[in-house]
Amino acid sequence: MTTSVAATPGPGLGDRIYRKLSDIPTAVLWLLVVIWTIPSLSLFVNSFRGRDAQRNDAFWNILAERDATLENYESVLTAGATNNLTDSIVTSFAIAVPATIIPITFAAIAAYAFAWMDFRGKKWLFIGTVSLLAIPLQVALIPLLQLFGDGDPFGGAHLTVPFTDKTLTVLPLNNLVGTPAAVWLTHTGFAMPFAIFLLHNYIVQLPKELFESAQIDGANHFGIFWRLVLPLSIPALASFAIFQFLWTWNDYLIANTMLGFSGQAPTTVFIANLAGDFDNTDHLLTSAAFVQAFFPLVVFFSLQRYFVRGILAGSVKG
Amino acid sequence: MTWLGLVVLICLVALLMRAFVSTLRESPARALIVGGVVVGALVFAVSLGDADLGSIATGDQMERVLQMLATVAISVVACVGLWVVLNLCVGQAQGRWATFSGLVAALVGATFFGLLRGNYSVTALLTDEDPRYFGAGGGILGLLEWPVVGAIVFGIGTFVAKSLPQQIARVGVGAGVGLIAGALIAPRTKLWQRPLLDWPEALLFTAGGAAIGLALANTKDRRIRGALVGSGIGFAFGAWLRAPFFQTSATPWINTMVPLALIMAGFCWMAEPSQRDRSRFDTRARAVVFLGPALGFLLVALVIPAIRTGVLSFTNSSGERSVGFANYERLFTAQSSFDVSAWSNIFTSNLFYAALIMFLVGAAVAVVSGTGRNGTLSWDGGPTSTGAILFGAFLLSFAALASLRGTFFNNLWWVITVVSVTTVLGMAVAVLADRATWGENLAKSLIFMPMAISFVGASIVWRLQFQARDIRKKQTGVLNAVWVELGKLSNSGLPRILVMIGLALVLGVTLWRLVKRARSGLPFSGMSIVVVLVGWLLYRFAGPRLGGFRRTDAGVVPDTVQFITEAPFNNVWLMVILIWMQTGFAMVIFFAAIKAVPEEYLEAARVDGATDSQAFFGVTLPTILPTVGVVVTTLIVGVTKVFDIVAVAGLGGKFGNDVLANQMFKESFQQFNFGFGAAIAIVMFLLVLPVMMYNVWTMQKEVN
Repeated sequence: MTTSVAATPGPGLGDRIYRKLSDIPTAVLWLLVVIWTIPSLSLFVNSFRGRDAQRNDAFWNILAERDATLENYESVLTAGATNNLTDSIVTSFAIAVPATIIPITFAAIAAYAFAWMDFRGKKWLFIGTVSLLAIPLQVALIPLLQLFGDGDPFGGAHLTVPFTDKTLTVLPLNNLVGTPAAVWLTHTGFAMPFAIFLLHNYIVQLPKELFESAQIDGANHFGIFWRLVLPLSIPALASFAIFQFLWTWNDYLIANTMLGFSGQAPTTVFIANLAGDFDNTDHLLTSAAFVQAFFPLVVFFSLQRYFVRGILAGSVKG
Repeated sequence: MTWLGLVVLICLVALLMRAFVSTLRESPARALIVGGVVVGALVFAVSLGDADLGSIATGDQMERVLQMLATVAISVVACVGLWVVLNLCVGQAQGRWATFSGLVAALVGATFFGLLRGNYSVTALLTDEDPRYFGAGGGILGLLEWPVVGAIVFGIGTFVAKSLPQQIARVGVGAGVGLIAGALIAPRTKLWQRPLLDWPEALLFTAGGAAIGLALANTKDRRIRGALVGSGIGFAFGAWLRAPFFQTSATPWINTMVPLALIMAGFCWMAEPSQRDRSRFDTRARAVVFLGPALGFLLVALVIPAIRTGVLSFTNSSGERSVGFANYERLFTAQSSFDVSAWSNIFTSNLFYAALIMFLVGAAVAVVSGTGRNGTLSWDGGPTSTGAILFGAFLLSFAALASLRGTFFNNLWWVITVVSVTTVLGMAVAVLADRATWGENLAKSLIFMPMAISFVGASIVWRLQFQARDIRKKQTGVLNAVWVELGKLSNSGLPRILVMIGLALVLGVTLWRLVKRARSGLPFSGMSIVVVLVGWLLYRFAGPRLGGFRRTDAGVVPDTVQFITEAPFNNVWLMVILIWMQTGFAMVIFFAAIKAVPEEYLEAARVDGATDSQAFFGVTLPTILPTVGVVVTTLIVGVTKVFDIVAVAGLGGKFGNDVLANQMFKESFQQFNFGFGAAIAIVMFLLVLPVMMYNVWTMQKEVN
């Protein structure tokens, strides 16, 4: 927009500046942007101020102080320090990576089945799956904690066989609580409805002729999926991947439930614990929160287009 | 050097993954091998530990990173690999039926033997393990030996059986495989899981199973197969599950070999199906294989736990004893859930009177405009009057919910406030960005950005804004710093006069333009809002003053707002965080919807002489109304389960700012009161159920 305005041969510079200034929508928009950005900006600025500076004055005083420092980052990131975020970053990646790749794979194939395979009850199965989107995940947390736990006699899923007094262990899972696996398995299940919905909306739009000609060539569903659908749906896959990465990286509830009591805390739990301390580590919160937000922000700003596309495909139908 | 090592490793893994992905396109089978090599290399690297990797990696941290990478790679490759293998299996069905049967039998056998081991029913296969000992030793190898042996025995056996043309030979080999498998299990059964065979009962169930198997089939061959398999399952049921366990029982041999032989003989009874049957089978099996993993995860992680939560909600804290509706009773009768003791405050609050005024203004505008249009006394609900009445309702909800306290009212307050403010703000930003002449992309990005930040991170960000310190010191919280400065300004001498002059000037100019617009018949509701706001500011500066200060005997001293602890409005400050995060979401969706409104509609409206705002309310808004519905339902679902903000920024909901999700977390995972926690979760589910049903309804219309 800016370039097009500059390119029009108009009146003098003063007039153009006046026109920009008196442009009310733009002015209001940017006023909102400033209000929206100040909170993040204050955190960012404060993360470079020492403990005393943070405690004595509001963030804008950094200009007067002229003693920006990296100390906070050092003490939060250095291995071996008491408050060490590096371990948490590793844990967060160990959760977010499988919790992103695995749901995508399985949801993509399920979405393909819903879009291009014929079987009985397809419509209601699809509606049922997607309607689970609205379920608050709190509903499933307690049984999942028991499933992954080391309860009495042991974790896992048990089934008391009807008409007998015997209990069978259907899923022998022992002591997954306290490991990232418990978290990403949970995320994988919870991600399915949205993933299937999003990817289905995309895959169902692919031209029908594509599938017909492939079938004439003798390809089966597996071949069509690998060779045609998967490469063609990369934009949708990317959209969902970004969503899921942000969601799993930023999740606090599931991580706190499954890993809250173990030594391996992901970044969100680490920061929440640090925030609950109220002792002399208060000043480290700013840098820790910025480091935590760094990875999602990189993903966000580099792949914003896909992210927006995902939001739109997930909500605006038709 | 640790980090350098990590970077080298990540690059290596990335390269290998790249190779993996590119081979995946050409040949899934080969890709599996590549993936296996990657995993193997990683496992090897981890097992070497820091001793041999010392040059690039030292310390626990590196080891943890490597372990994590290995686990991640193993889980990803295993999940994807298993699915590819399943597909390759099904792919054999049309061409090579025996291979297909063998592969399926191998999978089933591996699962069966794995479950035996997982149930601690059998001792280790190869090593000596005391059958009296509870547990399964032997590490990874001990975990894998039973599934591997199961896969080999059942897989090869079934392949051989199915390759034979004569039925009698097939059945013989099948039964033999069952006998071998039974002979593997029987002597290794743990002592305390050895059943004492009760022949009459076992035979009774065998006959029952056979009858069911017979009844379910429709051709002669299938009947015999059904009877064989059914009697096998029936025997196992009667002889193992119904029988009492007895250490000195001598019958595990019969108990394992007979049912397995029957079942396997049944499976091998059928001849190779016809080509047509096989291709039909291929399609069906393919659908199962494609949907299986996703639906399986859904069932295990969401559907079954949700049902179990429903059951748990009727039990005591440990989930063992049924307590009827006691948990629900406690939730709905607790003072902390519904506290209506201060209900009369509603009618004394300023918000209530502001709401009444807004209603009156809305009604007056509607009547005046209706009367002006029709000549008689009538109602014309244009955007201005509707807006005023809606805003009045919003204020009324504030008046009510600030007086009615408790978790449920807090949740309701969250839903009303966050959903309405986010929708309106998102719409406003979208419209502004649509009209803006420069920088709208950057502006959109910046408003959208908080969506990428975690709830915990956003809570930290806003705690920084909300901080309140001793009033004698400088304020570090941004909001209080501004608030206190404003208080100082409005109590000062000359600066206050200057501000008042400025405000008066703005008010005058706006009023003048408003009158001009009103005279020429243009809408002026936007400007009247500005006039009211500026007029109010002027009044505050002239009269009671504005900002964070308090009058004491010693004069005017600064005063702060306790944003986090001062009930009931601390709830609203927490809502601000969510609004800050979600406005970008609403804006992105509305922006796209506004852009999608056909230009001809707007053009037609303009030709008819509509102003921009008339075009918006008359054309754009009705067109994008379905989108508003989608945003509102999404927000309602999201807000109902808000947890992180209350837990981190609201300091755990201790200050009259608790919500259901946080209460659920505290009850379940801090007090370990599973029954009560489950009841709260179920209530949360019931609260979003209408939204869910609405979604199903719209979707069902769409699919048709």
